[in-house]
Amino acid sequence: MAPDPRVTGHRVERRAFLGSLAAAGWASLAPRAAHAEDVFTVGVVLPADAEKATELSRGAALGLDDANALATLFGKRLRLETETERGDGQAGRALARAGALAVVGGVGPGGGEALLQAATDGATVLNVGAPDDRLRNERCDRRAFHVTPSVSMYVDALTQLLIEQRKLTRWAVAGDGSPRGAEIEAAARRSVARRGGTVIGDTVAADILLLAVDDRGAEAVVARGIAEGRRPDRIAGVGEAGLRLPVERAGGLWAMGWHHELERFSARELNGRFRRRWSAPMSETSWAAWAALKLVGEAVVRAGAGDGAALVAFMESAPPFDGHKGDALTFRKWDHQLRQPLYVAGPRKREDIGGQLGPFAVLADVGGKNLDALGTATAESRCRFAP
Amino acid sequence: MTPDWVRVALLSLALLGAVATSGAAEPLVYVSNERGNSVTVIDAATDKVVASIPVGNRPRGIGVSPDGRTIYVALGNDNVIAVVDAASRVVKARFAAGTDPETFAVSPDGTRLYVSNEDANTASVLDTKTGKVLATIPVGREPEGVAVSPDGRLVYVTAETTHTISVIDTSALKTVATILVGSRPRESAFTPDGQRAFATAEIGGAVSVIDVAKNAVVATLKLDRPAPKPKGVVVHPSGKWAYVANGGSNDVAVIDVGALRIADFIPVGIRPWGLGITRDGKKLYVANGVSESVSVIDTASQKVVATIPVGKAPWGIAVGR
Repeated sequence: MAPDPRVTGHRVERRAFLGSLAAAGWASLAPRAAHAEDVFTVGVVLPADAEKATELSRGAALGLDDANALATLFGKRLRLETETERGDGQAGRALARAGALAVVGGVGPGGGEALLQAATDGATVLNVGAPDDRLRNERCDRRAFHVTPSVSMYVDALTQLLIEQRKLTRWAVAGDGSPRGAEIEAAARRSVARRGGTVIGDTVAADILLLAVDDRGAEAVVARGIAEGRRPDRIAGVGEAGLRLPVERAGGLWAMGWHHELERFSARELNGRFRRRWSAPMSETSWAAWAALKLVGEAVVRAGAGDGAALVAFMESAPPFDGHKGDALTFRKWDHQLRQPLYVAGPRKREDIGGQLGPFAVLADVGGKNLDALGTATAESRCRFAP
Repeated sequence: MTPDWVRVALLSLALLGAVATSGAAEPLVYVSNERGNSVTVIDAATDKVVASIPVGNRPRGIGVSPDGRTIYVALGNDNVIAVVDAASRVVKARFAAGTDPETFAVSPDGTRLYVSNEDANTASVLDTKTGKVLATIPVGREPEGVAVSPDGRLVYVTAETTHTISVIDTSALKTVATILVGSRPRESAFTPDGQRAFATAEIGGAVSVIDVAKNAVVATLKLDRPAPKPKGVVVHPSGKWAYVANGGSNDVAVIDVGALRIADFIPVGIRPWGLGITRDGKKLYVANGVSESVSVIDTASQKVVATIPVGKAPWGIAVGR
């Protein structure tokens, strides 16, 4: 990708425009006769996996559209540049070198670590796909902001629902030896103990079997569990992998950051706009990418953010972000994780299953009363931002 | 024998008393019930329900003509504004109003309705005599709240996704300015002198104070409540107070307009959204969507003096004559 010759630093050279602008939070503008704008580039790192790349692209495109619906009212515009990650972290770094105001990525195996390389180079990055706890702890970076929930948040959502509300206190863990699996198991041991439950070795006697596996292992473990006679609502997992199970093997309770059937707080409108545009449901990855673009757009308009440092300052100021989840979403000071409610989806009743709906329905939303009950608390955080 | 002049005087006094009594009749309060598909009618004199009017599917925004004779109700699932005769309490017409009409405002002279069309990112202007669409005006993304300035010159349309207010000139029928306000603005209201307006930001948890002449936010009042989620806003006819329904914290914030500060919070029912104030300013009615009731606030004491059960999921309130 050749650098855009119009981009100097992070902004197009300013052209004259009509109307008046004020920085720091408010602005008013009469309708503008000429389209002279400040243009800001946002880089998007696509994963190699085509399906995931499509989800990310679609969410980013809708987010760009929404961001520009606001930005263009005030003489600004965002544009996207994309690069595909090849596993060496160079895609994000290239986008940053070419002048991207922010780099969005983190999707796919190793996507989080690859994205952080751009942060190490000085770029402001938004993670929309990597839930790894270590990226919010030992590997945290002040220039990195995590839109997608962390492993700990997902697990806390499950324990809050299943232990606190449904009193299912004995948990067993089925691991696959993967790094993701190890993180889930570690988070589970902390979370279950915090809520008064116990992790036991006997998977037969356990109330809940938690799948400590990466996406590739989910289907096999769920299928085995159901084949062994386990009730689907006694299997629990993290993320959307379970939602891609075939209908006849659909099972488990899955903690996730978004669901395409959410309706409250204008989620219906957002899901509807996505579906009308792409004839496909809005996935968790698509929502996170949409949110990232919208956040950058708001930084550009509300705070006049024109470079990475200003973007960091805006995000750290905890502006209330409307993610269509009903609560003001803000980034935590101690690890830059976006606070947000999560959802637990489970198998739909057989008679409700339709072609477009998929086998899973949202059973509960979790965390609204205290968003910091999900994920790593400040006292437990191992993140130390460099000054 | 009573002198003629005394009898005339007594008769005149009696007549004057009758006229004064009929002119001071308490108004009717109309409540849209989103899931009840009806409008509840409350007599403000007694705070009792006097009627329930079936109107159509998913009523939300509600308004009354200046003469009190017509009630308008936005029916989101029918894509119309129902026109209800206040005397007979019968739907007498339905105006096509674009897709999923949610809220609207009645012009001060009663000749127009300004309707927000959320799916289309537009505002429609309807002629109240014919129902004809006079104009369709692009506004911000996901428009919702609509308010008309007291002199009828300006219309404010809030937009939830762009966090803006589009300022429409009602003579030119076009947007003449855009004001950036708090996150997820829901509704706005003008002061009686038309100099200021207040806009609620549901996710921002605050109220933007707007200088109307400057088209600019001059103050932001933070609502010091956990997740207040402000929605409805009205201004007292005296211009001294503004009231904000906090759907998240289940109370009504009282704003001192002169000092621009939050003066009080009045606990009401669960998920208060719609607000309506009587023309004399004595009573404020609050629609509590989840507790399916209306709280009546005496504005002098700033206390709830009655709670009235209404229909399913009450949403909006309009006060008639």
